[in-house]
Amino acid sequence: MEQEKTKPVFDQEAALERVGGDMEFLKELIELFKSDYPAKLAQLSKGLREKDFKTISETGHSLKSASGNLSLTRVYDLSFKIEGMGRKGKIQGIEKAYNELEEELGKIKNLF
Amino acid sequence: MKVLIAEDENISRMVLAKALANHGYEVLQAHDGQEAWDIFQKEKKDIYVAILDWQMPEMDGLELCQKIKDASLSHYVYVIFLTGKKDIDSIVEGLETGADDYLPKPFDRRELLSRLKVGLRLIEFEKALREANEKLHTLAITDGLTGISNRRGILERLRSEISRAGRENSTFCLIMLDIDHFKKVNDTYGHSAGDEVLVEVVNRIKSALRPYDVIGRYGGEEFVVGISKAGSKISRVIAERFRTCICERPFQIEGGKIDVSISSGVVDFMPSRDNDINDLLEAMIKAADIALYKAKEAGRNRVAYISIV
Repeated sequence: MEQEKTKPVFDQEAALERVGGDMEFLKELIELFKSDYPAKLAQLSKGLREKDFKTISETGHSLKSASGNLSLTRVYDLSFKIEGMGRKGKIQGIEKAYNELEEELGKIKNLF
Repeated sequence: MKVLIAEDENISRMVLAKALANHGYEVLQAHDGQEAWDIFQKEKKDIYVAILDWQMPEMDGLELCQKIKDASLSHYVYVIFLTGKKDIDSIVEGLETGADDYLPKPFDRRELLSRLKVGLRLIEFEKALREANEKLHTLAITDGLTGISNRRGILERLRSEISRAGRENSTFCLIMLDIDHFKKVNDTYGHSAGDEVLVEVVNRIKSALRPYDVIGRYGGEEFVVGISKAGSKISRVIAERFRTCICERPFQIEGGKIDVSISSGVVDFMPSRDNDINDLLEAMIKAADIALYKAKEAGRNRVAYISIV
């Protein structure tokens, strides 16, 4: 996991490029992400409790798509992992990644 | 031209839609595969590009792509699917299903736009090819001199008219007509005069036709007309009208005025669904030919009728 920690939480330059330099639009998307992710996190946690790997991989997939578009680098890497592990049904690894994801998502609150 | 995008994840969809809209594309957005399919069915005549997420609830990108590719449209729909970076399996599966291209997620804006341009080029090629094919088909079934159907074209149309008559339980009538002493026109006035006569015969007969009747050049100076919903009485009246419109006033051609007449053979039949269209058409043409021969034998410039059972 050390490798991810060296990456920025949010690569603003890359994110801006993805939206064609439209800062207002980017802010709007980040706000949307902030309001969306708690529900996703809750879904993941529920999936973990119930060992529902389908929900885990689908929620990981959805978080991955959203964070990828916003260049939320660490969230992206973690949800990528969670999606993959969800598919393989590896519960232990998921729990660890989930805790880290929760922590990283917490940092998103302070963006903008 | 519209672009359909199907993506269940909100932020990806918004980024995609915005990138496309900023570059002048009209975007239709769907939140899942089923919604995308519903939109597609409503707007398909304007949708030329579909960008589909591969993993979606309700209907996934694979199924959606298949449905779009199976919908027979008069234009090509270029399908790009969005997929995870290293997901070789789904890339292969997607392309094998008929998708034209894929984009790794999260996509790069510049890459998206230039791949879209590749799609537009293909759509243009396909359109040009389709138009060229249509033109070739029209040429293949049209008589160059008179502009009406040629033999191949009129047989095609007669087949569909006969099968329609079979479905509707109505009589179908066939008139075979031939210009009398046409060889003499060619020999006396030359071939371009002969061509003028052929064109004028067609013009006169066309003006005596109902818009839904079909006419074609069957051979050199032989023409065939298909008349729907006409029994023996009406068909003979129509054939008589053709005959009159040719001989009632002389033809004005380069080099003078000449009298022209035609002879006709008329046959009618009420086809049923059980009839073999090709056999029936052949029998009707044969019968009309026999009638035409009778008209010629009886002195030309006349109509002869024959009935087939």
